[in-house]
Amino acid sequence: MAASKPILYSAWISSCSFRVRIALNLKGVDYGYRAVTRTDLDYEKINPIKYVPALVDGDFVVSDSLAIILYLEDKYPQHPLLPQDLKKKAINLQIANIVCSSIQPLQCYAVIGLVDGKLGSDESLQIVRNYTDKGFKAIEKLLEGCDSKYATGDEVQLADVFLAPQIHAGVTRFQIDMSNYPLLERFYKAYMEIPAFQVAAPEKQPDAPASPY
Amino acid sequence: MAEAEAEAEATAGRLRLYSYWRSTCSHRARIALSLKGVDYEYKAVNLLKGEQSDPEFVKLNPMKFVPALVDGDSVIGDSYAIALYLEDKYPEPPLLPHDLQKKALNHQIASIVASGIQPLHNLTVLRFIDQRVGAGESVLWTQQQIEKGFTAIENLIQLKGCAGKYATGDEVQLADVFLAPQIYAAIERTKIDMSNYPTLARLHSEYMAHPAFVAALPGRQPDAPSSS
Repeated sequence: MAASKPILYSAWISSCSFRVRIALNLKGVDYGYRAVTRTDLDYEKINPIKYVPALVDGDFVVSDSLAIILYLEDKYPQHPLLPQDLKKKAINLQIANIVCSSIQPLQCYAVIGLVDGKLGSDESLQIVRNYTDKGFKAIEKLLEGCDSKYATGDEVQLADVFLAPQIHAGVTRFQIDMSNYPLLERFYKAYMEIPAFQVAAPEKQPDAPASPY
Repeated sequence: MAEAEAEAEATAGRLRLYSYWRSTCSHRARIALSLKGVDYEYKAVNLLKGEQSDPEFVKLNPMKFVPALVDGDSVIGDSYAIALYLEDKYPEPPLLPHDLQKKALNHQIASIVASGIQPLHNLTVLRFIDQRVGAGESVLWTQQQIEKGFTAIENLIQLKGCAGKYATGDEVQLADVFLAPQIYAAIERTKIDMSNYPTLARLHSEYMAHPAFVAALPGRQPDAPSSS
């Protein structure tokens, strides 16, 4: 009798969910997809802060993309996302945190502000671009001189899992000029050739609308 | 340049932490170092004076954030990355449990603080709020962000039934490293009413009684104003 597969609570457009979808795919973990919208009142029982994604593994529930991915890293050691080398591991975590603490939360604030009518569309876009540009510029600087296939080597690692969705959102939704970020632009092209990333893309999810953008 | 050489020798092998006394992110790194009993050199970066934009510091951390940890030729400019680096390099006492579920819960709580609360009320965001909405609005804004996050964490801890003496059991763990500075700042600076968050309020008293946490407090740092 096969063990029940993990369930991912996700929203198609959520870059945080996109990260976890990539990680699951890279590790070859089959999972069930549960689409969540802002109006799902029951979801609070799964995740008190009401954000996606959340992973339900048997009777265990974990939320927040970094926590989920580090859990997957331990439970499914295939295709490791963190190198053994402490310095390289640290740069992966630093880049992941620039994305998940310094870019995405401000993007989320700007998008929700627009949806809720608290911010005008120009203002919302300006906020997203401001924080995206700041983060991307810093990451570009941190990786200056990088000649490997991906951000920290020739294998996809944690930094890449966090960068891909952020760049994807920037390019598809917020008109970020990636020519300012040659390294990130090069990585992004490489990411989008990998099936694990392609299958995880927002437009490919069961809850994506017919005309996504 | 004999003086510089002597200084370099004295600090050789010693970690260096770039920190601002009041920065909650720096506070996290200081707690982790203190818990692990790691000696380090304190380099103050005055955020109010804009020292994070000094070219020398920007070279270390292009995000212009504190903390930054320098260990030989390793430079780590993020508190989460710093905490996990220290966890690997100085395994005792461990901040992460072996149990995968408890470990994940620690990461979840740390992430609510690091991604869900603090980034929405750091200095740059507050300046934006004050400019856009009106001077002083940032105070209300900060309160709202903290209350939202604290409600979620309080509910999560109660839902999981995980708290012991500390957030996820009877030992200090990663969640505590991230919670302590956020709760301290909420009480001291934002004057949050903690009666809605009984577990967090209790945890605060535990942290204030723990020597390693006390040593890391903002008021104890070399760059804290003497009158604070």
